[in-house]
Amino acid sequence: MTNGDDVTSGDAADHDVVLLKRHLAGDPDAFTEIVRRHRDQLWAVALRTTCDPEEAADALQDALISAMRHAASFRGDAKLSTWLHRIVVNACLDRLRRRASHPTTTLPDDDHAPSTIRDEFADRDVATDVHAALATLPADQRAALVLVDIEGYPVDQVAAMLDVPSGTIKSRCARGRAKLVPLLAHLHEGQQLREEPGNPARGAAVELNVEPDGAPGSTAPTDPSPPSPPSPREELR
Amino acid sequence: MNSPHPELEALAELADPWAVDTPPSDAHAELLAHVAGCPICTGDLEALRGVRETLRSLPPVPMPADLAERLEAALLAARAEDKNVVPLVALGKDGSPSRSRPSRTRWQAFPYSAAAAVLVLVAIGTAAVIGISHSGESKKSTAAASTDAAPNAAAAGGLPAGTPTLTSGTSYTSADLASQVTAVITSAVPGAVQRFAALRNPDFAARSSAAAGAAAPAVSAPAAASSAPAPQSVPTSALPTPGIGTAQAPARTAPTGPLADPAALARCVQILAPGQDHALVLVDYATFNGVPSTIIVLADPDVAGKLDVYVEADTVNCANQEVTFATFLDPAASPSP
Repeated sequence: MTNGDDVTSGDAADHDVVLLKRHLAGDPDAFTEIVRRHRDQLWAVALRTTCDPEEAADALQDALISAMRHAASFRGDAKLSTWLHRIVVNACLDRLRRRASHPTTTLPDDDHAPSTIRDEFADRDVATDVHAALATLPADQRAALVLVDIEGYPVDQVAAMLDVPSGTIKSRCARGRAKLVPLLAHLHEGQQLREEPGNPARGAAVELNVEPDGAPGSTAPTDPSPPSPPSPREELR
Repeated sequence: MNSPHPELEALAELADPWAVDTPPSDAHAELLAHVAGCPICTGDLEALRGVRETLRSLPPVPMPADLAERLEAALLAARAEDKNVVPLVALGKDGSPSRSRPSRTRWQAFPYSAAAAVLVLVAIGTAAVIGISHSGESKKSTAAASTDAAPNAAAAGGLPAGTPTLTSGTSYTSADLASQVTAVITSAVPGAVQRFAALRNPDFAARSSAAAGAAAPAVSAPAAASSAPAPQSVPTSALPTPGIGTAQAPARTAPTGPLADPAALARCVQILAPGQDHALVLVDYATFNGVPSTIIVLADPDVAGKLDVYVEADTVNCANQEVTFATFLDPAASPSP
């Protein structure tokens, strides 16, 4: 009855408003129905932002209960689905920050995270590689990419969701994509690289962008190309 | 080749979709000029666009069924322990609100407009209604065609045949909404009493008769209407084009306003219950708190036996910000936390 396409249409968004008002008026089933309409999309955002199914599930549960209890604060100036995304992604980032500040627990960038998320996307090679690569990014950059590039939200909406200026979202996306280039190069260029192993331009870009701050080399896919000649880009630095 | 290669991050901004829409800054123009003459940066830009495409084309990730169950259970538990979430108005024996104190705040806190409201009636022990018509013959065809016909009907700009559309002449008020709606359904929709147990509930019955005396909405007793002209039942099955009736007077004697247009009504029903317009029980062109409104009664598509009653202001957009909702729960049927 409802699917992703439905939820993005105008009528479906209007039905969200109807359901929310029924919830506010005391209808015990309305909020559950709202969750059913959006749960797949929200789950994907939570999973890709946290890179950990357990964290994602806990964050999603916290976020949805919070949304249910504070539904009256929904102002109607955005779609309900956008409002839910905002609550969910911030719950995810809060959890990641808490975990990062907690010495006994693991960080999302640890080896544990990519392997766990890999299980979740078993049999999906491209998705597995992309999620492993996303897991190496700082959480803020990852969240921006999840919302802008994967979910397709406009930059200004994502800026509002994360309470930062639009320019910040743009630069987070740009930095995140730049870090992903070498990690995902094999998806686009692997064939080409194998055929043209001496391609210096691509080799240069790949080597250059494995930077120590954002990308622990453990999860970087091995580049099939042989060692590149000195990069022209590197020489300029 | 004098210009240095730009940072990959700078190129990444060039790869952004918004870089196309916004007028290029001087810096971007400089970058583009460099990229145009530089195969290395052109390749990098392609790689960055490839990353964007890869992210965009990731497959959906459906929520695992066990997690979906866990979430719904968690929401249920949270609601049960949350004392703020109570029915807006739970009708007492005399039809007066029995739990108005905690919910009144919510009613006032919610941006209120008298333009429209929603009434949700809970009926116990009844199956969801698929389609309703006035004759057994068309009832059969409605039920048979309901699943396939519903989307087509909406697409074609109309509602399924057999939807009881009427002008009962009722002046609905927020205070008496439940009893008034009950009375109209009971009298105007054949078989409703059998289908919806709440309509047979003694409390509901008492309120129904009281409302019938006060507002005279019953189609079977048109003479009881005082100021309003005689209510007329206009089953769509009896008219070739429902809702075309010409407006004769300011009083609601015939379908008027935007929702008298079958296409607009069908879209409204689509918003209220997407893909479920065959669950439509009743449409009544009337007034609510003195404002011309359209009362739409649907069998709740998600909860068997539940009646959803929407009171829509005469606007084209059924979900505009003016819409206000009231929920009434039959105390016998409401799940007590």
